[in-house]
Amino acid sequence: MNNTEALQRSYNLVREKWDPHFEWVVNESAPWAPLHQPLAQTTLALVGTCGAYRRGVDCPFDAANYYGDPSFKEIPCATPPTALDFAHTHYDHTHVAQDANVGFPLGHLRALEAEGVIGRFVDPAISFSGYLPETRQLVKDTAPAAAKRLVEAGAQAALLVPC
Amino acid sequence: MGLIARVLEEAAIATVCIIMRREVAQNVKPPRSLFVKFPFGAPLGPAGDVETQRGIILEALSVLAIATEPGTIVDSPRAWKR
Repeated sequence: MNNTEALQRSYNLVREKWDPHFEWVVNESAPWAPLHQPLAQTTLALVGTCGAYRRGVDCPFDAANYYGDPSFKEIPCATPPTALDFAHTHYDHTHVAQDANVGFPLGHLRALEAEGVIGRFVDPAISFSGYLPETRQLVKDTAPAAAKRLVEAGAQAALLVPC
Repeated sequence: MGLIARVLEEAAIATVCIIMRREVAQNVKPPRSLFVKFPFGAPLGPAGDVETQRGIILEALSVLAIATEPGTIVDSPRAWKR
């Protein structure tokens, strides 16, 4: 493990304040799904982890939960950035509050689709809330469910944006 | 986020992650990553800076298109300007 000071500080903070059993995930190798076609012919999905949800439509993520909220929301690609709010208590919301495209770039991906840079922007986009010290339900249940949804929607590739 | 990328790859969806903590990505090992040196809460750049936001996305899509090694991490050359 790359035990840098920053990682150690985060590790100590999470264990002391929220989850006493927190451990970093360490994997020995990375999986690999090849991209079989040029970007301009690729059906691309957006997956964000900044806690985006539609104000007045979606139930917000449970941002107060010490163990995190592993659920996800389906956000229609045509959703205006101004219709989004963010439920995530572990980053500064100054920028996303002014401009949702900073964290959940629906507008940019719609533009790249219109310009032909990508083949098609997958509808819906997928939103998670990324503070998640307890990852088992994410890995076993909710991330596979999101993957299934994206495969059904035709996704060949995905851009993942943190916060 | 890297964990989600790994699950998507298992479903044959090619992924690229924008990452803000290189050490975490080195541990979790998503397949393809673009490392940005921006503050938390602004992964694509400052509010209203369309050129930077779009530029980061295009850099990430370039990593998606050209990376050949699982675990690739590419550094974005962009610096935080505010």
